[in-house]
Amino acid sequence: MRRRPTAALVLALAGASYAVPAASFDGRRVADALAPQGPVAARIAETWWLLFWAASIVFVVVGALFLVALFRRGRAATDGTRPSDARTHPYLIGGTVLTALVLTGTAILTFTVMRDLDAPAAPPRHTFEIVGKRWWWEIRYDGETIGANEIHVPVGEPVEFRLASDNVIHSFWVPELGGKRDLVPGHPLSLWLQADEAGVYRGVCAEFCGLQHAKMGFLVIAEPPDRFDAWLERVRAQAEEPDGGAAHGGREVFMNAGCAGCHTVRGTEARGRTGPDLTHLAGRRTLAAAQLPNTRGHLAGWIVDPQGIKPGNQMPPQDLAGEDLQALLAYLTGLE
Amino acid sequence: MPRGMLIVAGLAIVTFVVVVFVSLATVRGPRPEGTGADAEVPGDPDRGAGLVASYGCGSCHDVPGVRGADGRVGPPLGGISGRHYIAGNLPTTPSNLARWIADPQGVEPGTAMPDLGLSASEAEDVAAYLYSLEPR
Repeated sequence: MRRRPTAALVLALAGASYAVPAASFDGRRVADALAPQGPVAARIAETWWLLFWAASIVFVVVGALFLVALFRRGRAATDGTRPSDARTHPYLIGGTVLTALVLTGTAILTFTVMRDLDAPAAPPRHTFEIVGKRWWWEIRYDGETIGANEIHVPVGEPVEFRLASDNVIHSFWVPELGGKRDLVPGHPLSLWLQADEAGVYRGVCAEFCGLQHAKMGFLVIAEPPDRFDAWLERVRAQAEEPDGGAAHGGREVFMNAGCAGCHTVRGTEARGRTGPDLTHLAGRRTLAAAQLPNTRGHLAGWIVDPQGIKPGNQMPPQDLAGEDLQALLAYLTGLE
Repeated sequence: MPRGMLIVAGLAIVTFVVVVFVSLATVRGPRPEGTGADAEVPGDPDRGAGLVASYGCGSCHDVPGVRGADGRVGPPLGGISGRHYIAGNLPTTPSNLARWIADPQGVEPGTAMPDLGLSASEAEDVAAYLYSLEPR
């Protein structure tokens, strides 16, 4: 008898816990998996809602039965006997059968969706290889590195992503365009996505990969096919000559201050592979794996003190003389 | 002395000591002219706070009241209106602060702070925001 209020309280708390995520919602919707912008994400969201309603119905029914059992004024057996098997059997059998049906149904649904989403209707025209790094994304096309952290895709077409890692397991997830797929060292995997509307879609790393896992973001920018073609041509090209004395001086700083040891700028002697390819840095909207807007101020702070922004990442602080920093900024902001 | 009086006396002494310590810890002498809340500061501090975020000031400076602005590259900007110099060189006034923000390389060539591209009116707004912070 004493256990009834406690049990009821626990049930009430479980129900009330729905309020926690609801209360923390501030109205901003970024990378919302329930606001799909492409066919893969749409199918996934649809499946999610089906499962949500199925689970909610089960929760309500089971909860109701539980409350009934808890508060029913039955005749308590005082002789130590349990209710007869004839009374409990229907519930046991019915419950087991219903559960088995629901679970079988959801399994069939899940496998069907997975099979349907395995490959697009038409073979993708473009394939990007993505290599997960700590803690950024290397982007390659047709066997060569073209950049990092920002991928453009043509609107309305499927695009294939071949996913690999040379360190720990990461996971590639653009919630508005599709589901997650891991980047497993030694085990390349494939994923296709399609954006049906032009826009900028945020991606995240969805498998814990170390200190800066939470700050390992990326962008997928969907644009009309002709603009996509222009972007692809631009990023596959080598860097142009710097424009102006300050930028020339900045290139010297880049080579001499150690930047070239970790970063590549195609068309120069800088061939470092530890950090992202910077050939077309100025054309990106963000820095540090989609953590900072790409402005001069943010870039300066990142270069001088990357550990302040992403502690534990592999870029050391650069205590450059003020003049050298300005020259370097002039060079980097010219790498369109 | 009766016990009640001892207790009252003790409390009085403790209170006195606490008050003295707190005053010593928080009172400052006169601040530079035209600083703090009394200053005539042109510009819109609310717009200024937004500009601090969008121009990336927080990547180098700690700026109270702006999310993520906790940089360690330059000095912390909280309380800047209560300090006598900007960048070790310019006396702290609203117009000097705006001038510095708009053109640090012009004021001090070769300094670490880059030209961020703020217009004169944007620099005024940022200065107004910084002046709205509690001077220290």
